[in-house]
Amino acid sequence: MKFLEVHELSKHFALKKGFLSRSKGTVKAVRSVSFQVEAGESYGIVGESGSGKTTLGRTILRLITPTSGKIFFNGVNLCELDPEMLRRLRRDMQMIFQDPHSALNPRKTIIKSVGEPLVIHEHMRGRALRQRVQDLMEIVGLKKEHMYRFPHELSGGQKQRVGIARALALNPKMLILDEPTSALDVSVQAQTLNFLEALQGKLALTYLFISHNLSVIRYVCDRVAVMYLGRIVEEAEVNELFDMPLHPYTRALLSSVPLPQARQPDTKILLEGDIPSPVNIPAGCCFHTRCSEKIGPICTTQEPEAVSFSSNHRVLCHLRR
Amino acid sequence: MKQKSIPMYAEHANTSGFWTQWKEEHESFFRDVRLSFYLFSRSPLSLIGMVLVGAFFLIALIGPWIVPYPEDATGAVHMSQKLTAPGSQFWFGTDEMGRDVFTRVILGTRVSLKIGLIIICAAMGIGVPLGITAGYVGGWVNETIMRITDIFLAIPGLILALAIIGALGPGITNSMIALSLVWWPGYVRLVQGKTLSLKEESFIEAALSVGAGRARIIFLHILPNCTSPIIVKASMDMGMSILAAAGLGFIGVGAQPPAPEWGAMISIARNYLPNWWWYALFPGLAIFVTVLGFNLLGDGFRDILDPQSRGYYRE
Repeated sequence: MKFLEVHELSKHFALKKGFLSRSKGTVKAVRSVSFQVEAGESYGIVGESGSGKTTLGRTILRLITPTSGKIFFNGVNLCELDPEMLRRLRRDMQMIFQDPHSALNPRKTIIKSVGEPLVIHEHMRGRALRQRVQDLMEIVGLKKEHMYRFPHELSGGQKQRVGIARALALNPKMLILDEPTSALDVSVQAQTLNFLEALQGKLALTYLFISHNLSVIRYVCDRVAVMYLGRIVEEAEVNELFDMPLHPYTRALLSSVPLPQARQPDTKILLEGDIPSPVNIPAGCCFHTRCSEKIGPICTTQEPEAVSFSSNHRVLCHLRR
Repeated sequence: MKQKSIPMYAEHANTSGFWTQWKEEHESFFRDVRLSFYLFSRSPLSLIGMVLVGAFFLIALIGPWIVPYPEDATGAVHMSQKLTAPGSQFWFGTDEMGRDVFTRVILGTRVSLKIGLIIICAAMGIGVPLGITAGYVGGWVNETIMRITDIFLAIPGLILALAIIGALGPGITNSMIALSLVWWPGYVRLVQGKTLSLKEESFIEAALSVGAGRARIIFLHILPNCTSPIIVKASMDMGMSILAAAGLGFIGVGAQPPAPEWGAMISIARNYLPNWWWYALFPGLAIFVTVLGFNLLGDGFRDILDPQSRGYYRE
């Protein structure tokens, strides 16, 4: 039994417009995505903005109801749970948000924000609550005095730590991290990543790490999935993906990462144009509008199927058949 | 600061511990309050508004005990002293029945305060729950509530109020009912918009993901974040509703003479302009000062209650 198993998950949003809510098409944010995560590993999801990675994260947490597909968490299908069961199961699965500022209620002190899950699930109050929140603050490296502050009195990095403390309050088994560092300063980013790594070791957590930043993914994750227009186009172990990318999109992404050296390689692959709209997804391979390695009409007409390159390396490309 | 406590005083030590704890917990809150006071005191216009509104409340409270001729509030008639010019005996002069205008203006304060408070409370009581429901539930509930609100907003408020009074009959109670019924749509709009924008904030999602229910999210996350704009709007509307009620009194469908209501007073006094100017001037001045005070206060509240502007002042 896998720890987390996502099977053919799709999420479509109906585009509504006007007074009588006529449907103006659907945004296909996530299109039959499947992957598995082992307990204790860090699974990365990488892609441009608009690739559906955030929607995927939210759907797994069931903050959004999926259109179709199954999500097995410890063998339980999350899509079939009633709200009360789901509420209880969410203890095991928590989320860290991208913008640490908007993730905290500006009218609540930190102790109220961090303690909210404890109040809801364990009905803690008074001294017990204070003690537990204080312990959590210590885990994330904040002081006791921060407990009684308002969010606007803390820095971005501190707020992100508060968000982590809240997520840890119920001893979850898995954290979904939605671009946890992209709103932070570079120096704080490194600090936060190291802290997340240490935390994972200490508490035996499983991470689902969503990011557009390949360097961050490489640093934190064990396995990576590359998303494009709602599909996973390539999935591999992190070193294999970075050393031997197979999908043209992955290659373009990797070559766009700036290297810490004066002479940058000349062979950058530049993607032309923007990611197509998820309302009108191109026929055939969804990447063919920007692909520089098209092999013929098959790319524009036939949708590629997943090809297993090695046991842990899948790719969605006609080129690799 | 840890002290060895003698068992006998253990309880005392415990209570002092409670106070230190309480102080520590609320330190940030008091810091915010102090900052608000500081910001408020830096703006002279808000202070003027505060003083005017403070005076208004004070006069409304103690009015009946400070007026020189309490019996003039109702139908007393002293024809011998009618339309006396302002002087040491009658500070604001007298009216066509010889009643003291000063007494009547002072007592009119209480009437206006009552009208304003009731209209605003009723409007909030209708508007805020509807606004939150519309914004949070969304879908057809939102459409229904907002379209009805739009219909009310499309009709000029005073005209609609007149129509309602036409059906209910003139009088101060009916004019309050009528104004309450036309005043709520503004609150629905305000609260619905605020709720919609709050719903997109990640702290709502965070609350959902830690298992918060609908009631918890509405009452602990959305409503507290709506209070600032509601307070600002209420303090501004207070002045406007007093003005509207005075308007109804002026055209004769609100408070009926001889009730000491400012609008009703001016309505009669306008026949005596310009020779007996004091009769209309002083009630008019009272309306003007009150509305100005509430508007200035509302502006001041807006400047300090908006947490987004905090950072600006901090830096």
